[in-house]
Amino acid sequence: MPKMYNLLSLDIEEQVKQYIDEHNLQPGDKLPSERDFSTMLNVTRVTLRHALEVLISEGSIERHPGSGYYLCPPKTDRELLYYCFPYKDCTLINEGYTTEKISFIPEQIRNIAANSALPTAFADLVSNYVLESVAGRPIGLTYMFQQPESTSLFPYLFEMNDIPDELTITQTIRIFPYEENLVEPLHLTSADSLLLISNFVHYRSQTIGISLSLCVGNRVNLITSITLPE
Amino acid sequence: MSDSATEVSQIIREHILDKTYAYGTTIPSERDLVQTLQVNRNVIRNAIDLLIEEGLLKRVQGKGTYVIKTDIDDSAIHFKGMSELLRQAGYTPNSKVLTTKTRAAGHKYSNIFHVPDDTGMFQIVRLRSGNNVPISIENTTILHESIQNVEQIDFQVYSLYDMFSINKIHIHTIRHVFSSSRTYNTFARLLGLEEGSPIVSIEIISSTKDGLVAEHTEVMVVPTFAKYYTDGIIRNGEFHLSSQLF
Repeated sequence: MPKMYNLLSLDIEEQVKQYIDEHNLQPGDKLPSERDFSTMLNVTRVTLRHALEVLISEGSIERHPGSGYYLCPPKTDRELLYYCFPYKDCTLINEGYTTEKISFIPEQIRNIAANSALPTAFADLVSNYVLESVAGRPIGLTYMFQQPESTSLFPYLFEMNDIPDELTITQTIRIFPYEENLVEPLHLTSADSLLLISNFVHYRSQTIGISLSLCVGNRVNLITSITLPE
Repeated sequence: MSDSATEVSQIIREHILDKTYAYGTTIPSERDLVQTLQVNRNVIRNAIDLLIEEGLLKRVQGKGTYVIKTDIDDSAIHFKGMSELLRQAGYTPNSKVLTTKTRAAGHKYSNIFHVPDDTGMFQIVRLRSGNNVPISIENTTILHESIQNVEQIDFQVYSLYDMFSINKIHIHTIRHVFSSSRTYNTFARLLGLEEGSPIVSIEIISSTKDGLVAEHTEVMVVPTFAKYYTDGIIRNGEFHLSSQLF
């Protein structure tokens, strides 16, 4: 038998979620205090706190210092297939997706765009920077860049809700380091974590657009379904 | 590779097919094969390598060389080409069982599998690594009844994929949900990450054609290995993960 690891924290996480469901807690509702909760689940406060820490970092609950733990709004579901074409994603739109133009761009994002496969100088790209929110809660900062020549064919590339089959998109997802200057626009706490979702849009073997999105990874579910061949 | 390695691999292959070397057992040691077949050890080793590549054999450190059905490892159901991608990057993938547990579905899994709370489940938590570099932790749960004698199966040797296919469970749809989170304590240590480091988290639900949930897995991925799990391409309006393309 292999060496067994103590993964008690997984069980406690399950029990906390069960408590939330069974008591029909709503976003913003308060969880029991650490003392009451640990007695209820029959575990030490340290063990309970470890499980709560995981639930905070995955975006289920949040801690208000000096006050306690509160249930978060549900995570936003997003189709990975339409990540850079949000207006094609009906679920996202129905959840209350809105954008707001911004001018701030992190150095690293600018560098990726400037050194990308786009043949045009950075300053000449058609660009659009937005803060994305769902039901008033920020979920990401998205930076879109388009080749000027392609605007005659695709006037608003990233606002399309009908995606031509001729477009091929390569997509990458990475952890993005936490930066102080992102805290304010995205309302980040130290438990939040960021994903950089990059979409490169190709048309007839040319890259015509890039969408670089800094997404609060613990506020979204990026969903994709794959059907296996028979 | 010399012709004799090909010949020796043919002999071993026939023994596998006629069940002299039965599925789930080890073949004789290299030393024994040297004696029986009267060829040198390098030839034996090359012949075995050929069969490993073919997916008939699997070498398990400290245990021997096992007859298996496929070389598709545990990630097979979700990420068909994951091992291939890792190998191309110079990693030999390996998976270590951290814990296994027979349990009731409870609140969480009764919702996921659409079964009563007291349904028997089997849970297995594994650490995936490549050349001893931690890659991910996978927490998998299946219906206990879906795999016969599941407690007796050595998951260091067999993949869940092997077991599903032996038990006539055919996965049809796989739903992946990507997000980020942070890792602490035991998991952080096992992944070689600092306390509270961000990770990519993936929830995977595999279902059969009839829509029955066969398996639920939660994966925590070390950021430097994210690309093997997350990168994809959209072509003709369809999404494909790179790791599915092989």
